[in-house]
Amino acid sequence: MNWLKNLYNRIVLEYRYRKKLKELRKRDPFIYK
Amino acid sequence: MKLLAIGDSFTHGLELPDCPIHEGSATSAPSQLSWASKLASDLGYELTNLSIPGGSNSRIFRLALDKSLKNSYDLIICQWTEISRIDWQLNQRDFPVTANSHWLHKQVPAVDQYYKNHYNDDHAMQTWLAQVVTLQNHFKQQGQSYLFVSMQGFKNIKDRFRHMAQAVDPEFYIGWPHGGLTEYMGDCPKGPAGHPLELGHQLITEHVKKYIRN
Repeated sequence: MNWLKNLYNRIVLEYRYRKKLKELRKRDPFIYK
Repeated sequence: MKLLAIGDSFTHGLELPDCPIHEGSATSAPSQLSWASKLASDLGYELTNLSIPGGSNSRIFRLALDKSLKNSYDLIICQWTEISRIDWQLNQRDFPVTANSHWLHKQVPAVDQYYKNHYNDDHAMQTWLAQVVTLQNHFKQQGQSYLFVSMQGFKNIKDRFRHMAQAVDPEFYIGWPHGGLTEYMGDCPKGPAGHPLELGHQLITEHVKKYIRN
């Protein structure tokens, strides 16, 4: 069952990262390239 | 009279008619229509504008310290920017990185990995406040005239950083801590990437000018 736990943790981390990146992009919306 | 301005795309003048966005824009010349250019022209300064689109606070700190030790300026203006930006170099040239650089996130996996595994808001805030206080104290020690201004103001500064924020001299930091260029340009027309156009730069110039006259 370790693989399932690892997969779950990876999905949670990825979700947190996407959420954080969305916040940062909202805070710094200026595109330069 | 010499003026040194260091900031990001706002001070560079990105999206003004003489400074369109294009790949590699980080190395194109700053706009002659930017608020920094207008300010220099209005007050009779000879301007050196080292701002680049996507420029980070670490780059601003690094260059301001370097140039102030190397050359003589009558006034140095540092336009601080979003704390999450980072100061990298590629092939010995500045390689500005922001969380919003979609192109870079796709092309350079290390950028995505950095924000994913290493970036931390509190660390970025502490680093930036350390840079502001250090640079301010350096300028004061050198008797160097300077002004700081933010790209956008801070609504809330966490309690754990309050002692550092209190060490910033508000007399030489326009609008500290709540004000910033995004407020001073008001509800002016903006380019597709969100930067102010000529009216916005005019409004910013007028605002900053008041602090120089005083």
